[in-house]
Amino acid sequence: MRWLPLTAAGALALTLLASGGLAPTRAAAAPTLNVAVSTDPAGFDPQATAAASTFEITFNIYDTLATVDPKGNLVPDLATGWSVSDGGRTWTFRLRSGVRFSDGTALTSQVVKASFERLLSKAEASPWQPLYADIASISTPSPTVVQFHLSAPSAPFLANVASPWAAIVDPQAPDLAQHPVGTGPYELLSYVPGQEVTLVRNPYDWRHGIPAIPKVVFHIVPDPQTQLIDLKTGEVQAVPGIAPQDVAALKGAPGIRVVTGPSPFIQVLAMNEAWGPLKSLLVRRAINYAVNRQAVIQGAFFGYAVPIGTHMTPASPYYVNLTGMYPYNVAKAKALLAQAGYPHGFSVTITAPSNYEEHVRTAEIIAQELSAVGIRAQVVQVPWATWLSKVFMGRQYQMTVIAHTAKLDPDTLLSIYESTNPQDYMNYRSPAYDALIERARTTTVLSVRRALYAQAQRMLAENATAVYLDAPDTIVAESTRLSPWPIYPIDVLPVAYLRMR
Amino acid sequence: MAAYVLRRFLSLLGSVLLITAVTFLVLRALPGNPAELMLGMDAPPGALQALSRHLGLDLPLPVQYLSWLAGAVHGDFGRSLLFQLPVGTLIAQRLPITLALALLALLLGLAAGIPLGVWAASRRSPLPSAVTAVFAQAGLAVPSFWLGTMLALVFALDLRLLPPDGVAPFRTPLALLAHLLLPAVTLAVPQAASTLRLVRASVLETLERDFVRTAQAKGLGQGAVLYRHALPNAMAPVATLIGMHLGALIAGTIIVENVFSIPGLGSLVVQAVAARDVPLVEACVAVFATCVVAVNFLVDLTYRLWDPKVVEA
Amino acid sequence: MRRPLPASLRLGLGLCLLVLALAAAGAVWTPFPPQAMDLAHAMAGPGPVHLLGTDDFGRDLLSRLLVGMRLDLMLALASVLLSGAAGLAVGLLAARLRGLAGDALMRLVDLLYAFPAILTALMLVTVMGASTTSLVVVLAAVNLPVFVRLTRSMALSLNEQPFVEAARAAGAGPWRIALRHVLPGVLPTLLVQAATALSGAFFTEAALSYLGLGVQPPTPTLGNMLSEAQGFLAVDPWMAVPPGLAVALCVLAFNTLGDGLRDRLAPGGGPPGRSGRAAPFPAPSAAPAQVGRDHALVIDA
Repeated sequence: MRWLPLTAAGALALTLLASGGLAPTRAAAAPTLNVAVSTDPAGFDPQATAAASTFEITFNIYDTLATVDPKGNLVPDLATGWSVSDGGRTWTFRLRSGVRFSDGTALTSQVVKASFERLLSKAEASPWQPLYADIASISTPSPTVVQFHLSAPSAPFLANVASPWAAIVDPQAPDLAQHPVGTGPYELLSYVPGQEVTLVRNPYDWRHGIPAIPKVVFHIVPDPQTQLIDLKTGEVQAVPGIAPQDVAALKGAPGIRVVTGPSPFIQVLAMNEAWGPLKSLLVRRAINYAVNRQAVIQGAFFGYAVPIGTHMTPASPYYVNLTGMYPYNVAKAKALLAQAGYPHGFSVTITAPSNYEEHVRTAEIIAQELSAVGIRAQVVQVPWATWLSKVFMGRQYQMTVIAHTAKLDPDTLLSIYESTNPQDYMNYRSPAYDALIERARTTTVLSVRRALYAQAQRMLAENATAVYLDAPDTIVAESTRLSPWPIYPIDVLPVAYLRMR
Repeated sequence: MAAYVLRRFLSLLGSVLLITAVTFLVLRALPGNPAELMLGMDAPPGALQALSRHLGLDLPLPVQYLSWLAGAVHGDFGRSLLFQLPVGTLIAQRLPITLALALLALLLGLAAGIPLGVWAASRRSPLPSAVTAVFAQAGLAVPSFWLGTMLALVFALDLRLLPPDGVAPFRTPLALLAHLLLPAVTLAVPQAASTLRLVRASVLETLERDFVRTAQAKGLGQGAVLYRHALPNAMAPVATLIGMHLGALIAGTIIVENVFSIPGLGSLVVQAVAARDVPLVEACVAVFATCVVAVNFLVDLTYRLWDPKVVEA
Repeated sequence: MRRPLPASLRLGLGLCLLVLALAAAGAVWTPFPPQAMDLAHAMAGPGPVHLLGTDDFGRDLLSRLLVGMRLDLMLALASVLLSGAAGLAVGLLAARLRGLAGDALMRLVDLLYAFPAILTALMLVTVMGASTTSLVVVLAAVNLPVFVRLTRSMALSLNEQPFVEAARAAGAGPWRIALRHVLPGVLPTLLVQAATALSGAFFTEAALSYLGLGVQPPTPTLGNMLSEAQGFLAVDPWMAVPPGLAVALCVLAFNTLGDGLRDRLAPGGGPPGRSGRAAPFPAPSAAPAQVGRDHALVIDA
């Protein structure tokens, strides 16, 4: 009667032993780089999607006419150079010669034109079409020259052309979402949904000696704790984007290095200017004085963020440092509240998207800080879908904590405050601001643009439209066998220039 | 009997159909629509309307549902909005993994639960009863996400015995087993605990029965009575319970798949709901519901075969 | 004749009293305000000031534990009361309705049962917003089919009993029979199931919190304390210990109570209608606990 449990235990032990030798499955093949990412890409057609998880990977598969370097400069890519004429209405790009797609197709100006026409076609319904609505026509004076004729001068045009969704695709390819064909350093070898994306060197790649690592596997690992275990056991060599609290757990771990750099995100406490007490400038300024940005950075980002004072990332060359405008000052906040007619504060809700832990943590800390000046803030967590629908599109909220993503051109960040923009969810209304942004969009003189955007940033800060909190760092944990991970000012995971011992 | 089976089969079909319809309506009634989620905060203003039209979200709801249903009847479950892949491909790839995980967990649960339950029913000393009671209670009291992470920390990180996460292809069954073992154990612990409790109760009850007493009176040994007479009879409720366990296990893989990055149906459905990926959710729910309803049906059928008296019920 | 209380029941009652006492303590006194942050002393281990240490915001773990336990207990009681009452009513109705109507009702219950509980939870929480009320409804919805099935199957078997048939022959109406004769027979088993469902509620609350569907922070519950600690497992594993043990204590307390009640109410596992033949069903006295546990698993495991 007592042998039964023993047998069961024995069987289990045997199974454990038998499988023990099979544990290190991924680390075996030496020249392969394994990277842990948390979500699946939404297909591999960069023109068809707005999902960052797609661009993170397709950045390695496709090229753009111009591209961005880690410092944020726009540099030549498939185009070796460009010029603007006709008062900013005509953009001429000279194409690199000898470039081929991973299926062998040669890159010509016709192909570039067809790629953009695909991006603009009704049938493809690319979400990015509004950005390119000002393209009146595309001409191909020679096989290596392509010209874009715009209906009006557009300063962000070059940035738009360099953005990952403007990737030059092989327009003949039947199903880019599943079988991408690009000119990038890698091509897709296989994709098993929920498991892994495997890239191998593009045989036709035009860069010399790049990529150094012939095979890269992105493993889809949703749980952040499991990602760390994978890194420590050597299953993966890099985890781009770890949670800031986990840095402490990696300190002193042998063979692991942590690389940090500015992320494309800025975190704000947005205030609905159409709601109750927040209509008052004094109240919004009081809240700005009442929030201690350092406490947010410590409590929610464990020190891995820098304070900001306006709606722009410090990594941008357009950034104006306005962090001194509202120093943490409880007494001043109370005085302003009293002046605004709320000596005893008021009740308010802070909506936070539940899938972003850092925003929820920030909201909790701010709620606590606001109680010091008499404002009774309650945190309401909502699913991402609800946040988008109710807060962002519907403007049914009071305060919310969210991050905005910087793109290559400052226009994308600052234009959401335009009165006519459907995404102006803070209900900021200022004809003067609208005019500024419109002027900045149509001037191609860099110094003028810079001055205009500086003025726009100052207007937002003075109006206390939001509490501009911080710009979190991107934190990458990687094996010391790998060269330091390049951190870009946009949300991509470039692996082509990495080297591995 | 044939008429009954046919009636239940039709009602099974009806149930699954009703579930997909309800899911569809609820999913579309929830705040947030698929187009908004696909675009997020990043896409330029103006993209939303075009995408909604492209996806057919501007059509009346019944039309949307019926066009999905028409496709589904022909085996075309549409394209996932989240993955930009055919839904059928995704399901075909993930269902076997979830089934394998659930079956392995069921086997482990029974392999541990039945012998422990029999042992617990032993009356010769209070020790088995006490030891198994502690295991049963502990097994039912530990949240699985915590247990799963702990097992991964110990067996994958500290001892390096097993891979911490992911799966291996079916053509390498040993490697697959190694990957599925920790998650299966995580799932199996509470199953084993509840099987143990049932087996113990059932064996104890059977031992009270007249025929067992007769066997004892005839002078059969403790072991012979237990294995030849009590156990086979005590297994009846366990057999019916297996069905229910399997149904629950299939649906219950959601958290464990998340902890261990197992690309199964459970983790898929949570992702799909969060993304309002209607075609994908519909297919997942239909598969889940079919499994559970079918298992329920089989369980009811077993009852009938055991006990004709239930026919009227 | 009064039998002495079974040991399991005494143990269960004792543990439940302990849980109640801790929860009651949380209602009247906590060492610190449970939501007061002290970022300078975050993730401190147990010490003389913070007896159980602090969490990632520097909040006192003991204070949060006591308050969380009270909230969990209230959630569990409210949801089980709701699902028990509703399940009893629907189950009795389903047992009364014969033919198509009864069948349709049971298929509806099966439908709720077949629908993955996690999806029910996901959708209910999304529709109703994450709040204590919606959590009570979610937990109740998860338990409802079990109570319905249990009530119905017991009511059906009781309906066949001689004493019920005698009452029927004496001219008692169907509702009178249901209330006077069937209900008293069903209640003890439901009570056992309720204890099991209570223990399941703590478990399910923790699982829902892990998936981000639980009570809004910063309000502490054992579940959201545990799932918050999960994010810091690599840095400060201690944070998960107090809430983990508390969940285990609560689950253990009500499970043991359920076992004890079963031993007390149905000694020897003798359900109505015991016969010499092998029972086709798991004996109803044992089955409910299993069914209830399975259902918690649909969410948790």
